[in-house]
Amino acid sequence: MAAALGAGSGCTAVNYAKLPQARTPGELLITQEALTEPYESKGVLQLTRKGPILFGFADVAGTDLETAVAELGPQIRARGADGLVNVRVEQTQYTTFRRIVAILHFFAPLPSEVTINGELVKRLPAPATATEPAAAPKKTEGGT
Amino acid sequence: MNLARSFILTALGLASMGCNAVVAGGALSSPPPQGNALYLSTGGSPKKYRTLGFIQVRGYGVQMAGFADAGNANLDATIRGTLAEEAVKLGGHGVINIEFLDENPQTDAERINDAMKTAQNLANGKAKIETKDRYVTVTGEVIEFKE
Repeated sequence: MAAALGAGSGCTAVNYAKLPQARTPGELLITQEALTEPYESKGVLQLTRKGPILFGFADVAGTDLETAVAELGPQIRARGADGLVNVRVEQTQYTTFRRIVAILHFFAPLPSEVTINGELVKRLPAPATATEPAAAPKKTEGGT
Repeated sequence: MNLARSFILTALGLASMGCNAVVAGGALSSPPPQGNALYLSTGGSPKKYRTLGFIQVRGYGVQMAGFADAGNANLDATIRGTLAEEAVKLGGHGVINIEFLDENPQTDAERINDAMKTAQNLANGKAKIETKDRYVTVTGEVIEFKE
């Protein structure tokens, strides 16, 4: 029975979260890249959510990437930043088969955890490119 | 029946607990590098550089009764403390591509649980304080600026 369930379920667990990718001033920027525009570092931040998964599928504590990303906004703004860069994410994953087994062993919830960390930044306005005033045309006095 | 009831109560209790643990550390460096100050960044280098080596630091600490922290298991002590000190010893001008992980941050619910257990122990005449081992791991690339 277990073998049949195992064969019938995928061996890959997939989780994803959509990240806001704002480039306009004032809006949050969350990216796994480094920032190429001017910025001021505001520190480092790690957000972790932990909890049990009940009956194999009930994530009552919200230990998924999407919930964690949604909670980043207030944490970033509370520290005077408007972005989190060089972000690393990690989430506990279980295959469908493992989750089905957990239904049978309902008295032992699956431990689950999601962690997001990165560097807090405040983007600075790009330095104005110095433009030299146009050279006044030379007056030529006299002539040949 | 009792088992089912206690299971449901536990589940509801877990669901209602705060599950968040947020840890933060002080500011790193903002580009461009300023004077002789060690340049610390989770990103790359703003100037040409030469790699001197790599460093990994693991800060260890103990959390007592849920709220008192002892040791170096925090982001500032590891990144701006030990990591920076070791980079200077290597002759580095900076550490780039810093990665960090607080391996077992404690949620408010876990802290309160430890505090309550400690209080219960003391009330029962046991001199036992609940403790949790804490670890923070940091890695980085030590560099020397060429210019």
